[in-house]
Amino acid sequence: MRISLYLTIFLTLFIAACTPSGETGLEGVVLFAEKPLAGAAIEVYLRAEKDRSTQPFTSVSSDEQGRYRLDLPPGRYYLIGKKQEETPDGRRRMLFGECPANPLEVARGLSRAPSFSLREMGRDGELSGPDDTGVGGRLTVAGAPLPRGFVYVYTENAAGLTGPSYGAAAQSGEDGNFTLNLPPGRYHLVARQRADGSRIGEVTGGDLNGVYPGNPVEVKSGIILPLGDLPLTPVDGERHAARRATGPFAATDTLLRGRIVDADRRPMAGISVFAYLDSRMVGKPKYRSAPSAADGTFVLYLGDGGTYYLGARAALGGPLEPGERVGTYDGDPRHAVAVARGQERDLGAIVVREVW
Amino acid sequence: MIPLALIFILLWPGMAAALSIEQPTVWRGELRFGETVRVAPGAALTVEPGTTVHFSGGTLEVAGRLVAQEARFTGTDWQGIVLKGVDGDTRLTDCLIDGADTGVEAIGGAPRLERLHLRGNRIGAQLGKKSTAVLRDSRIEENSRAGLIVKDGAAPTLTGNLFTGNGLFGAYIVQAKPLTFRDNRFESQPTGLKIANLGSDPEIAGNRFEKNEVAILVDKAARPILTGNLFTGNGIALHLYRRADARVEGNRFGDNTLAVLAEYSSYPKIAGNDFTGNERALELAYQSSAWEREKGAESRARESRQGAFGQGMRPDGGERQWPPAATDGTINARDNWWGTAGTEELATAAGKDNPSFILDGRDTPTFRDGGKDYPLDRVLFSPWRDRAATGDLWP
Repeated sequence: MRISLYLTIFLTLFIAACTPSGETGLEGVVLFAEKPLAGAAIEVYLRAEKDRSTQPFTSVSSDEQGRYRLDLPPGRYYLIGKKQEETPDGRRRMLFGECPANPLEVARGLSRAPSFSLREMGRDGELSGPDDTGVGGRLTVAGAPLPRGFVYVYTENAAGLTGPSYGAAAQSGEDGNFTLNLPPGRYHLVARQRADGSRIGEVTGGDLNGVYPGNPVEVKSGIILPLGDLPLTPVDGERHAARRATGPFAATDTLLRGRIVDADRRPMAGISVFAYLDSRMVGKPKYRSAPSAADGTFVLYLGDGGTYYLGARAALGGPLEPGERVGTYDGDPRHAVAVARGQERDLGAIVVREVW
Repeated sequence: MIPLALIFILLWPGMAAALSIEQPTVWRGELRFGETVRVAPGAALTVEPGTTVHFSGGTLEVAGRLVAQEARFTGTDWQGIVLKGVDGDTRLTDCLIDGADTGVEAIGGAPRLERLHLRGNRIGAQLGKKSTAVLRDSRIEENSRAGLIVKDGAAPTLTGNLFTGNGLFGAYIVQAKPLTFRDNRFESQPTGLKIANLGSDPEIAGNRFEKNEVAILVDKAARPILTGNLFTGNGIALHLYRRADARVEGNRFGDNTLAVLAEYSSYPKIAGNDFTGNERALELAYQSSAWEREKGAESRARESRQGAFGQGMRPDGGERQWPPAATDGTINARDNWWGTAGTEELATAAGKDNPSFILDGRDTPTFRDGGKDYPLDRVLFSPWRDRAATGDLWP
């Protein structure tokens, strides 16, 4: 009898030990147009790259209440949701969305992922809507119409209404007016005009920035919602710099420091260091430093310890441009550096070379 | 930050702190700065003739308006003048800019840059972010890397400039299409003008290229129109490399070592040109329709998809956007004037079959790549012209 009890306990523990993920994982709810979405595929990736041609680590479907549960071993994961469906009027559409809290950390037990919304994809990957549905308004600065400013539409505000994850964008006309066709749903709008006229990129001192005061807006089918004026104000360079210090460059107690130099060991200013979790070092980095100082020094603050793959370049993304300086941390053949939480490491010099 | 007062005239030659110019300001005399000076949106900075501005670091960053005439901007370890989205009211005229990383950079906007002297910078001038700047009648020389870079969809007007003695490139156009590129002169550089990447299809007209190692290099699926240019005394006048399907029409190639070199799946149209007195008129290398069908796209993808740090691969886009045209193993070079000697050779049986001034698959039937032989393409040169067509291009 006692042998049988021990055997039962042993087998129970053995089976539990053999379960790949144990009781760790993620659960959450996926939405579309503010309502739970049934039958959406929730895919899990181990890396952040946008090219989803690789197979997901695992995937599940959401239930009738839009809920999903993923059994996952401890680690960091990237969640996306998607669903192809037919609309009541017989049109095929693709819904897609990334969890704004990516990557999600799974440590102990079942973690709750924030709810996230899918959006309808247009042919160019942006939000699309019929001609009679969307929003319209006018960009202004100091009460006057602002021509050629950009309006951005976000479906989530968890990431702070910044960055390239906006679902749609439009440029105001000479009279400051803009119209955006959107599918029915709830949206957050911001507007920006950069001094160099570009559509994307970090705003800096002297650029114009504005958040629509009536956010979020509710778009209903068959109506172009009149928003009125969306006022923009100049970005204060000093305040912006101060805010940056609490943003991605905020000081942490886990950091890497070093110096950017060229092949002749001359210090190079204006070079950012990028930390990737993925050895391929493509796509969006996990962390990046502020541009190196005039003496080439940089500090890269990290949110956590781990193994990071480091590259350095002047531009924040995109293909290399002629004359751009680029390099990697070469203290390790894989360009990797391991750092413990709370540790400071001096990497010495990172050498950048010109690309032509 | 020190906001400057209205019409504040700086005469003090001492070292200034970081400045933000937010009111109309005039510079005169000799000024020295140790870090960046910013001209805020709505503010105007006027630099009077005879002024010398020294930077020992930082940059002159203009988001408002800059008007400078007969002034010198110089220094060591400074970044240069950056014009951010400024309009045509920003004018630099008869100024010397030297010692900077990039002498003058236009990020968007439409500044007017006239009769500048850009010397001894790493890059003389850079025009990007769809800038429609005007750069004309300027002397761009002895910059250590490039005289001019035009990129990011910029559509500037570039006329009457001299590019000479720059370290790597006289001018470099990448993913951009100048509105006008005419009457410029390129002398004594490793590469006079490079035009690269899909989307770079400018018209390069009426320019002169002299004594460059390579006068024009067209690379990576750029498709310029080259017309009415004069190439003389260069090593290679025109190098077409990696799907460089240029239109080459009405140019004068004279006294170059090699007039046109086509490599790696470049299928130009070459017509109405004069080829007189070159050591060789036309040469093909690693150029094969069979290779293109078998390995072209894969080979290019390996290069173009490489991530910035040389590790992983970025998503592919270019080949899908613009698949290669069907090729039949020939290069179209009909209707050109091959010079008196060349035409006499073509009148002979041997010359008609395989003229000595063209090196192609008739001379070297195959090349080897990856352990396999591929047939080298052939040049279609018949019919040919019986007289020069570009007489007015002679110096």
